[in-house]
Amino acid sequence: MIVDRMRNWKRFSLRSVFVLMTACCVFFGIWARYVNPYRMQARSLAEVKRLQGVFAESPAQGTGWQRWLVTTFLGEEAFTRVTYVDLSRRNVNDDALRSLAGLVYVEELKLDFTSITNDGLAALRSMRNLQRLWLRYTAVSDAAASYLETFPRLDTVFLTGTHMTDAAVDRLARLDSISDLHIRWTRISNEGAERLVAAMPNCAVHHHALQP
Amino acid sequence: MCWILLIGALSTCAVPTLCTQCRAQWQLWKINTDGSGLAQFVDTPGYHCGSPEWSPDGKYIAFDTWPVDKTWSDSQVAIVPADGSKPPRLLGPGAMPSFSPDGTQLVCHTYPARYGTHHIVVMNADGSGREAILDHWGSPRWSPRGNRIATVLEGNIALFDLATGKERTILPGFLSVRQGFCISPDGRRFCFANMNGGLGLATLDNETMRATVRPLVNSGTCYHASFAPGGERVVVGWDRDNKNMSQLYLLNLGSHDVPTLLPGQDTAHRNVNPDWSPDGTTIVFASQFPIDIPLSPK
Repeated sequence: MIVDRMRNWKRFSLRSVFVLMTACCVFFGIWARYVNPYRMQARSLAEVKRLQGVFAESPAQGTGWQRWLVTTFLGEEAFTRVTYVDLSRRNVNDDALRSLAGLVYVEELKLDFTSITNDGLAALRSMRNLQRLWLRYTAVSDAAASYLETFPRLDTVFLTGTHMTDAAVDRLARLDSISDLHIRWTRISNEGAERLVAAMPNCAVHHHALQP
Repeated sequence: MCWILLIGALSTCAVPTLCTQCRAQWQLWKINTDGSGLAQFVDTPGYHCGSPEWSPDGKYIAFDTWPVDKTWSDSQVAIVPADGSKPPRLLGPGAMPSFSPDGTQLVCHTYPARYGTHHIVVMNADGSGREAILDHWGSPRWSPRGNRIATVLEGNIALFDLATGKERTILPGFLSVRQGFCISPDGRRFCFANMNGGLGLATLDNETMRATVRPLVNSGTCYHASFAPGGERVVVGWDRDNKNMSQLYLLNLGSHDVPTLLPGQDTAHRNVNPDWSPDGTTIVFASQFPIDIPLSPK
């Protein structure tokens, strides 16, 4: 009798497989959509803390069941949105920057005086909410201009003291969302800055050339 | 809004009952270098003014100003045409402004909000495009040469390289540099007051980026100094006898003579913060009838 039951348990219909697969897909879909961003954020936030960065967070907006889901799997403190991170003058390189990709809700990111390059910047594409970005006195150069296009809400960019040249002007001019661009003491010439001003009528371009 | 407040304050200047109070305020005055032409330059009742600096073309004067009933942390940078044709215009929070060599930028320091920090801030000469470039205090001076901004940092003079973002101190040892030092037109010499008294001249070696220091004045309390356009003389606020009555003195750097009192100034006033005009003819300075209101920050 018991053997028969075991045999029945091992035999299941195609419908059961379909239902099971559907349930799994729904679960992982919900996980990916509602829980995983907070899991990735928690990982990146741990890296920010390791680097002794400064950050600000606000309570996440969400329905009760979403809060329950996130806090059940990740803990009570995980249901927040990190909106501000300051890693200026910290020991941040491109590898460290890649581990910050989980900060998908961040709106202001300060990376002044760090050793990041264009490659590291490419890893930040997931930060779709980024509005203000500080990259002053980093090694980012002309190629970084194309990465900036991947931030749809970017409003203000500080590129002071970077290696940007006139070759970046055309790409910078395509950044429609930007209203404040700081390019003091870069390698962008006065002529290049004038081209930017003409091409970006809705953007305040703050340029000051180094003395020869 | 601040601009409106300042204009409002200017309009109330005409009320005679405020005159005694006006005298007690730090205000900006001008005097020719031969001692003639002493005149009040701007009158801002209800506001102190200090730390004036000429623009390189001599057309504007930037200074700091703050309400008489407030503290240094409420200081704002203002700019006014040197011919006085327009009233002062506030540019935003900050103190001790200094023009870039081309006159298009200003650097100043800001005081912290309640729990904030000091900053060295750069802005366009119209006050737009502000950005904090250093996270410390420091009486910034834009060097006429070499793409540098000099500041007071932990009693020393630090040079911030605009091209590389690197900052380094240049004086040997701890000299307790007071705010209000000045840089020669060639960018190599720094005339500074010592918090412990006296005045010194540091000469920078551009190879080693270290400076050697020669004392210029050993007694009394010195304040802000300013080079003449040729770099051969300085004007300095000097309280010779430590009686809290600073006056303006001229000092010839090529000699070892004691500083000479600038003639023509009202010695019943405290006279400090001089800045020599680019054409060499005029000195603008801050002056106050001696009622105890401190001018020097920190």
